[in-house]
Amino acid sequence: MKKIHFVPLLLFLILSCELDKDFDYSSNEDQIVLNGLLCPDSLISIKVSKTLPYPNKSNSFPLVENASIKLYENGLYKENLLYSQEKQAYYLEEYPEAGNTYSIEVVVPEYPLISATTTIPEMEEVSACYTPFNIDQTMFRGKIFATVNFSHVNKEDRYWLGAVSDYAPMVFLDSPPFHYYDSTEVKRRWVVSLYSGSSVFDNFNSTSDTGLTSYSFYTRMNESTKDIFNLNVDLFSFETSYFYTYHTIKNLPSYLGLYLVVFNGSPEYDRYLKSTVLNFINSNFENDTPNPFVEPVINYSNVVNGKGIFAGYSQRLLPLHNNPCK
Amino acid sequence: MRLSFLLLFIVISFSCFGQNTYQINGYVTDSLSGEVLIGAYVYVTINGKLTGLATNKYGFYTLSVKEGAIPLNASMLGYHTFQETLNVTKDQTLNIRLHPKEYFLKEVAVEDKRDTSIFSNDLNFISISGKTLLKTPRFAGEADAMKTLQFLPGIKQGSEGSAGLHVRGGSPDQNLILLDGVPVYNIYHAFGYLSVFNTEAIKDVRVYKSGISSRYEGRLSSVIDITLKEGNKYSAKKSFTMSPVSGSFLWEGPIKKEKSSFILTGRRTWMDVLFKLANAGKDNSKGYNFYDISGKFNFLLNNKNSAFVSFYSSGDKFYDRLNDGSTKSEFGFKWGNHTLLGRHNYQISPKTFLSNLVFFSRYHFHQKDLYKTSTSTQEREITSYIQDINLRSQIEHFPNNQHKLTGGVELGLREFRPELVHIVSGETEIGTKSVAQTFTKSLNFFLEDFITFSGFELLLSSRQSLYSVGGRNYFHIQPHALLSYQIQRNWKVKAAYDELVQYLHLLTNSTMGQPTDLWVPATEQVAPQRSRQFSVGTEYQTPDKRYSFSIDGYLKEMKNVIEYKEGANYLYGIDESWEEKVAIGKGTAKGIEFLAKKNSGKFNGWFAYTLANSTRQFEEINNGEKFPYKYDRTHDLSVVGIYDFNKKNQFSAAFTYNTGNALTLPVATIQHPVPSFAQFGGASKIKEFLSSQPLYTSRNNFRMPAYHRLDLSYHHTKQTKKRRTRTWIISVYNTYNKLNPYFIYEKDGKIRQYAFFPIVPSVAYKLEF
Repeated sequence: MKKIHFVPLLLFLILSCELDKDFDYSSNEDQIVLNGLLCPDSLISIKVSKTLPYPNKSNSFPLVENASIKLYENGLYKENLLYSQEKQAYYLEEYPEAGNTYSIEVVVPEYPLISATTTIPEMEEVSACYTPFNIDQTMFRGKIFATVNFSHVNKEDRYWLGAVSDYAPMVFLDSPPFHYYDSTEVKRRWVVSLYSGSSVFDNFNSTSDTGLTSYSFYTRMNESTKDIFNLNVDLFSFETSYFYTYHTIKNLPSYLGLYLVVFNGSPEYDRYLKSTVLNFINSNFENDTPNPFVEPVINYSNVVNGKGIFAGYSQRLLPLHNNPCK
Repeated sequence: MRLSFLLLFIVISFSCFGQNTYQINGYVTDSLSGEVLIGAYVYVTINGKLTGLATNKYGFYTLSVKEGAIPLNASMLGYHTFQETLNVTKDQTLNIRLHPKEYFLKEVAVEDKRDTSIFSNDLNFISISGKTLLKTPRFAGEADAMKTLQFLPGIKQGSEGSAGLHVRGGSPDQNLILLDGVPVYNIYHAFGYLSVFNTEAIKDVRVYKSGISSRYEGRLSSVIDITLKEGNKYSAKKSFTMSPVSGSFLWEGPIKKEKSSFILTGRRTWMDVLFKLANAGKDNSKGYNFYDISGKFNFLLNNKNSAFVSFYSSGDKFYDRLNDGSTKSEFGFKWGNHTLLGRHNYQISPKTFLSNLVFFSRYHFHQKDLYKTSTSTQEREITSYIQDINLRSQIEHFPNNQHKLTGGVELGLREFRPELVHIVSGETEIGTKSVAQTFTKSLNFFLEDFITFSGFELLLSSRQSLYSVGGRNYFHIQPHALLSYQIQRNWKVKAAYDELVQYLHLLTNSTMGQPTDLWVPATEQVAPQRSRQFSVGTEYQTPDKRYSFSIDGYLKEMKNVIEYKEGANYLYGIDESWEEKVAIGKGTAKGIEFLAKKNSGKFNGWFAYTLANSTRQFEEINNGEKFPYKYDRTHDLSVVGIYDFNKKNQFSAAFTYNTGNALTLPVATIQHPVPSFAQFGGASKIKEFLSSQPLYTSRNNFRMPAYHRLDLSYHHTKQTKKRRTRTWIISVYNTYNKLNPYFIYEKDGKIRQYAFFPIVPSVAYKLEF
């Protein structure tokens, strides 16, 4: 070549700059979402909404207020649920019962018939106690181990654990007793992540190994004993600047407390929670940025012709603060 | 009178029964370089019929002929046909030198292109010569064997920037890629952009997609058999090539003229130099470099013995460093292949050829993360490797021109170290996970019978494998059958059946596909992969051999394929082994491949189209429902054209189009119920996430936009006064700047795409002397 045309070559190079750009993606038409968690401690309530296009991050989902919902109990028609503007849900002034099977049929104009079924599992007798762990010298920080004891473990049980704390801000005084809890400001607070202690060997969404962050969401119960694992409960929270010390936990006033939440989920709820929690971990891998190396998790749903979850669970709230292990 | 008749009868009888059969054998070589020619056809005319076969991998041939004057021919694409009439009175050796044609116009061959009754040693493969590889369009001035293979039907790279080839809907580990008979585990530099093979050193590449010989260790999808040159036996030659990406050299020549030769090649990128210049004076520096080097020493010990020794080494390194005085961070990884082999060939008799091989092969990967401040240190290192030692002996016996028997034994020892994770936080080591090395042993016997009769060709073979890992032994019989029938002189139909077993897996992240992929063995918990494949096809060649057409259909069923479970993370932690993270399932692949070629003339090339479907199914993934394989490509089209203006100027173009990859994207944002126990303050992230979340409904539910690009290349060669050859290579990759997405992600409420390469023009220079 005796002559090189630099201008076209330069133009080519300039044109090559924008590698990172918007992608033309339009998600599916909206779908009907049923969300109904049945627990013997709560009234029957089901929310019906529609999906939003992805990646809309709004929490304002369009509600469906003109649906017709039939509730069946153990195969027999029970009643239609009524819509409440206040609750923004369809409800029934009744508590579901453990051991019963509930089905719903939902008719939304211009959508196919939507249905779902679940059985509320029984809750075995369970107790919990705590032992101290890793208490530092100042006693302002520390952990306790909560140990859960079941009277009987069935192989099909799917237990999940959590912990809540009824706390109040501490008011400091110049003179003894130097501090007290403001009883007018009592609040309940979730203090740990969810932990799965399912005795069902989990081949689905099995991994909890997410690298350095290592959320231990799946711990399998030892079938030879009745005990589950020891659950670490932090006594100190940076978020609210409240804390219990190891010593004060034993002497809390009656309006305060530390409780272990134990619930037994139906198979649908167990699968749903696992897929949801895994998606949560992987979407908030580091500083709220998704983990690009993780395998996608399909959101579990037992709703036919729709999305969401209709599932039952039974729960217990077990006081820990006044139950040290012997 | 009766006595005369009797004497005449006796004489005639003795004449008939007294015609002895003799063997003519030898080697076919290139007359200019002395390189043995693989697949050259050697044939004789007997009673007006042509009979013969093709040379084996070492250029050896043997023919059974009757006593008397026998016209013998030898031919090969790109060479003038050799013709000689022999007066055969005993067994004799005839080494044939073929002269290259003036123009190398016809390089891509479907191996069964032949005259009537000429039969090749191997059926149903596609071969591409090194010369063709050097002519096809280049990326950044680099000729690339793996990139050229992707223009063939049924073969595709995963996506831009990802490593691995996908053949007939299979995964990258399902291809056995051999370099002079040694498996290579990671075949790409530059995150999938360039293969680790220096094209200047390649003599021949053969791809088997069905009717795979039992000589090869089992892989479910294909065998890609790359043969390196041996080195010019007559004169020394050197060449240097410079491209914007790398510099390479080749040095070959005789050690002892006509008896022994060597070839050395090397290549290294200078991208790290450019990176350093760009990052000079900055706190943050990034860098990437690669190299590959190979050598082969070839010895003709005597008329019956030959041997060669060869080595190969390649390495890649990427790093991203920050040091601003208060914070030091580093992220980087490196990987590499190393092989060493020795081979000895011995002609036991005029009809029997023995080949022995011993080799060592290793692939390793290492990743490092470091984050250090004045008050804390976090560090993580990940290491994995796979290495093989293998002994192999193979014997070929030719009872007659229509029959070839091959048998052999192979003993292998393989070591896996899939995971070694070392995590340090502060001054304390908080965890080390070391999956103990896994040693596997294998013993294989293979037997193959190739017969031709009445227009039929039949290949029957079987590989018996005993594989031992831990306390578990696996024994499998892997039969193969290939039958073809010549309907007319230039028209053939064929059918094949293969059962294959594969004793290793490649764990690959479905979102990436990079050197971070993990080679793992079949174990007591994770069984070997298995497949059955049926294929049928037909091939037609025009009487003048200028054009050839083929259609092939296949159906492949796979078992025990593995994939990471939902939510699994390649970034290894310390709590689980890889076996706990994988699901085991099955796959199906089917398709129709069409190939049309122009084989000769100034312009030649090919058109390839594949219509295919590939799916996977795992109980634990996608609710147990079948889903498209990530690299399922419904349509795959390639057109390659090479035009030789004259000896000095050549132009080539390649266009490729394929259906986009399948990937998993959310279809909506969904509201979730917040259970009663979580409707409080605290654990705000859980509550927030439980109330609103992306909705994933099925695996690989979305199709990326169709991928297409056009590559162009122009070669200008000139002889200098000092008898040197200079070649300028001007190439444009992705000529019309199609930004094919590499990956898709969400940011700030928008879906974004990232493309790896825009248009890439380049100029390369090659000097031969």
